[in-house]
Amino acid sequence: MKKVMSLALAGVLFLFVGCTKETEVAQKSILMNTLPVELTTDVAAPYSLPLEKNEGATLKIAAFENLYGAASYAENLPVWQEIERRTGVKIEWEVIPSSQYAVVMRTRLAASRDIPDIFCLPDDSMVPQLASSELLLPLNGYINEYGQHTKKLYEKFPEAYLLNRDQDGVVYTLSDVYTEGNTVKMYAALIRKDWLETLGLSIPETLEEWTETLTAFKNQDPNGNGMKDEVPLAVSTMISLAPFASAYGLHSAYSGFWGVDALGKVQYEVLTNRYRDYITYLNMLYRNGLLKFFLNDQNGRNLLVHQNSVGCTGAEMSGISQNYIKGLISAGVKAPQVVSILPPKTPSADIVFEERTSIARRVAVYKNTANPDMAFKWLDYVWGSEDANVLLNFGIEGVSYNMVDGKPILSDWTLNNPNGLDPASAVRSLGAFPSFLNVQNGEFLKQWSSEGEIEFAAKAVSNMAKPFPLQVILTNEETQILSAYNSDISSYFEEMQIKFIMGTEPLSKFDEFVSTLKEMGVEELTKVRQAQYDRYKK
Amino acid sequence: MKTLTNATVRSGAARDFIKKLNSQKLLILMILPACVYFFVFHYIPIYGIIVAFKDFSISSGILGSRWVGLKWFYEFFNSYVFWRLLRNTLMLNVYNLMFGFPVPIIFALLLNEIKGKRIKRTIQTISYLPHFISVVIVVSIMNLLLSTTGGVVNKAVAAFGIEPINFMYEKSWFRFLYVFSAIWQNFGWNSIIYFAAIANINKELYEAATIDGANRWKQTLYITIPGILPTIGIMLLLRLGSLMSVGFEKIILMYNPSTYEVSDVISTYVYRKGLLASNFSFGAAVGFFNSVINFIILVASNYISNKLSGDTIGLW
Amino acid sequence: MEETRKKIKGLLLGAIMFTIVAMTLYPFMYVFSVSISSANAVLMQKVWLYPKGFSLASYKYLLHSGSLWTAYGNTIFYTLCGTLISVCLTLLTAYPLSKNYFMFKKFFTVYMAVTMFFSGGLIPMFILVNNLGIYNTRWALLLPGAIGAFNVIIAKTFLLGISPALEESAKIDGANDFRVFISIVLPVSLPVIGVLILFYSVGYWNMYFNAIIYISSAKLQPLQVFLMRLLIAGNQELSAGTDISGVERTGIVEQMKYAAVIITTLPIIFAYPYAQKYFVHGLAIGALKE
Repeated sequence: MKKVMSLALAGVLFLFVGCTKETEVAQKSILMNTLPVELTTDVAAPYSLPLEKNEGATLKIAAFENLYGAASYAENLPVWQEIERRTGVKIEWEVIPSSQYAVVMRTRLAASRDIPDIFCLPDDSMVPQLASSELLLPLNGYINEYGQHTKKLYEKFPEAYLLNRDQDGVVYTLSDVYTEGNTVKMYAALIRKDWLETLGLSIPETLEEWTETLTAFKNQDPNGNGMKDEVPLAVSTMISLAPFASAYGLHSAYSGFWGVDALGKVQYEVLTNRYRDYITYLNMLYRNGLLKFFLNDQNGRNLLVHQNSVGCTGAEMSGISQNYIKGLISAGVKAPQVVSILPPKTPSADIVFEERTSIARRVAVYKNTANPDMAFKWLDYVWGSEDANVLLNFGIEGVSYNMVDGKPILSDWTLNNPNGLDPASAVRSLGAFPSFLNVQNGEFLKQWSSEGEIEFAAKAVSNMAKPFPLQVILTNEETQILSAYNSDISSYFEEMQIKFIMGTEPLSKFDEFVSTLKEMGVEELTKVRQAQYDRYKK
Repeated sequence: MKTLTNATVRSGAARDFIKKLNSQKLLILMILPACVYFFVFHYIPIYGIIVAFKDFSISSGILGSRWVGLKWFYEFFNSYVFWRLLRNTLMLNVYNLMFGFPVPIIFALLLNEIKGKRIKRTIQTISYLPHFISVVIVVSIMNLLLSTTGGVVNKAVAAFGIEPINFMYEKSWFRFLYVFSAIWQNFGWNSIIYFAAIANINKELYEAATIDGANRWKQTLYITIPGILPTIGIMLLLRLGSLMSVGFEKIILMYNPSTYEVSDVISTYVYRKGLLASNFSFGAAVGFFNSVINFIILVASNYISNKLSGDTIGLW
Repeated sequence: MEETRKKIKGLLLGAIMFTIVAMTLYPFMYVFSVSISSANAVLMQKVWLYPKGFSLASYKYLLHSGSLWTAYGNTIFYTLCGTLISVCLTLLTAYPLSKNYFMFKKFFTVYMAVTMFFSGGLIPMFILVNNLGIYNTRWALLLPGAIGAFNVIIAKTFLLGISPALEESAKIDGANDFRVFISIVLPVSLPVIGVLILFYSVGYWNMYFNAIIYISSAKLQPLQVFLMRLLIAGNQELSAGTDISGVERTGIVEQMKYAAVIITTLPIIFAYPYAQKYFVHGLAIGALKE
């Protein structure tokens, strides 16, 4: 009897021990995975290429389809062939047109079926939801272990880390990173310098001068065709009015009107008098026929530009003015000049010149992927390494770029594409400049921008400020607050904004507008944004 | 079969039933694949509807998620713009029904008056063409034609000395443009069914009428129209059953905040809301609400239609 | 007097038809013109009706792409198989429903109509397709949408119009329901068969959403997915990320979307007159009816 008892006890004990052992192992790996990322130390186990020696290694990757639609990633484009060759890992693509990507991937994630090894998130705000559903692999441990390139990139561009860690410091995602490129890409006003010269005007600097200049464009026939067909200021998105918002100290380009005061307090700038002054100014421009909207209708705006009727337009520049000028020349305009200029100054506010948002389009590894080590190393190499960066930004050597003095220089094939493609489309036709994992290299953008743009960028840098960190990962509760309030508020805001500007709603109703926004829960949103900002600064 | 009848027949009603079953077994067999199809592909997944009453979380799945009752419905009804969304959705549909529904019928009747077979076919084919063009392109054509700067329409308007109209920004124009372009794009396609219905009418009826001296107009009035009336009735019923549905694709291409007042509909609202956070439950709740209203309208109009037509025009 | 009246009527009818043709032909003409104009003319938006300049560069690009032809083959396969399956099933379903004496008529109509309104949404559907083992196979595009309740109702309405006398006589001769359906009902139902073929085949030809949801392999994707890629590339408002070349896309990239529309729709336009013959047949055979 005793024997039986002890045997049974041993059995139970064994089961128990066995259990604890298993949980211990599981716990250990979780611990390992969520340890803080050690930015300063070297990785524990650097790897070398190829990642896999055996033939059959594959990774399933779900991503946004190539933005150059005629060449799908699924066709095994040259850049990705090269990645496959270097890493020794075959890629099995699942590419989905970007407008449908969210629906498709959300469904698959929600059903927890057929999830690829590596995938772009359907939308960037889904990190907490997916992480708490155990779908995303925490990367901290892997970064400490193998992330030789990732760490370097983090060091160089801390935003890539700060905007991809959650409230507990766990990193689940890598993302597009716009690094040095930010200095040649921003919302700026593009103005027809030759028009200014024709009318004997200089570049406008204050708001008064802007009004005068735009009025002169309208009335004095700068295009010289004898008709009053000029549109002084043409915009196709509200964002491209950012230079004017800047003049009022408003953060509209990349921050969605979220600003921070000197004490670190977050504020929805739409509620301020500065915002009222801003729309009052735009309303004045609109009323006097100086401003014209082409919302949802970029082609309409571009048409006017090319017909030589637009004096000024706002745009996210880089490579734009060149195409702008090319278009004008082919339309028969003699010696057109287009320059980007700094936002107008006002005495009342400092100029806010926002830098471009530094990250977008997050990419994650599926938690139950068969070979997480390989998946992470692959990402580390493709996303972080200098070698892969040249490949992903410049394309194929001898085709889209050449090495000159150890530096990649875009070839004539790219810059003056024989098939008429713009530089972005040209390199995309090879698979470069991808729509995910894109660490944008400033050098690439510079080579494709005009001298004027680079010069302007150099001038602008001293006036630039970081945008509000809207991308800081939210908690689950914060996501719920946002989803409950944000869409009603932003719809109402957008609607009233354009009505105020177009004069269909009198500006006297501004106070009513502000109190309605408050009723709708702006305070709640502000709390979320404040929490985001505090975490970012921590 | 025989043992079955022997064993189960107890009352006369049951015997009749079995007898009927037996005599209609081929009909039942014919409908069986559809029965299985609808069961598998529509009724098995229908449990997803409960997502509307739950706080869906991916880790717990549809069945395991927490019940929240009518939370999402309240959130929708309490939305700042709920009544506006409802009104706009219904208005677009009502206009579409009022003006869009008769056009394909009239077109089919008119085309029927054309004698040459060749030309008839050509016109038919051409009338479907716009149906094959995606809304992205349709809207960009609209922008091109309606532009205030060089658009053909505004040029024509200017010839009458009228100031250019900013069509895409004036809320008074939105509904007209939406409905008109929808009719233009689809009337040819929608007329197919009426062509077929006209083709289905017995030709002898026309011959007899001609002998009686009825002219074309009388023939149309007394033969063609009554002949296609059942089809018209069914199409109208089905159309009424979708009064709460408007797709968002075309609207998001056409609208901008200055016309939200008339252009923002339920589907665009859900679309904008969905862009920010993936709230599966909210979308499901709104979808369920729409379906219930649609279904009620259909059941009611089917009842009325059966009453009016003496049970000849009705879905069931 | 009568003659002039007729003439005026004819003229009026002609004028209406001419307007309709002009209006409906326009978008296609425009799309076609843009696709073959010179890239520069497109950029300058000089094209609004007929082509300006001439260039087939956009077609060259598209036809070069290997995936276009695979996608084309897939679409033809889906359209042929899908239409065959759907039309057969729809007619088989509609026939019993057109019989007033059919015992499950009301039950089944409601059973079916409910599915037009209520669905469990994408997630359970996706799980189902997975569990059936047809995810990422051709069946995933053929089965889930095999029968449209809408089309069954239309077919039923048409079959109701067939004279019962026709069937009675056959039944007296000893034919069963299935025989009557095959040899009596189908031959006089050509107009509605034509309608069903047209509705289903165009549905399959334009199938897009199911394809991106249920098919992950590019090798099985239909043509519309290919087309959508191009349309989206040109439509940044809808795309997810911040794109660098939003404003300055060159004419040729714009043209490709138009060329793609032509490439994907031309076959339907050419195939259409064949389907249309059914209507004409129907006209002749209509004489057999009531």
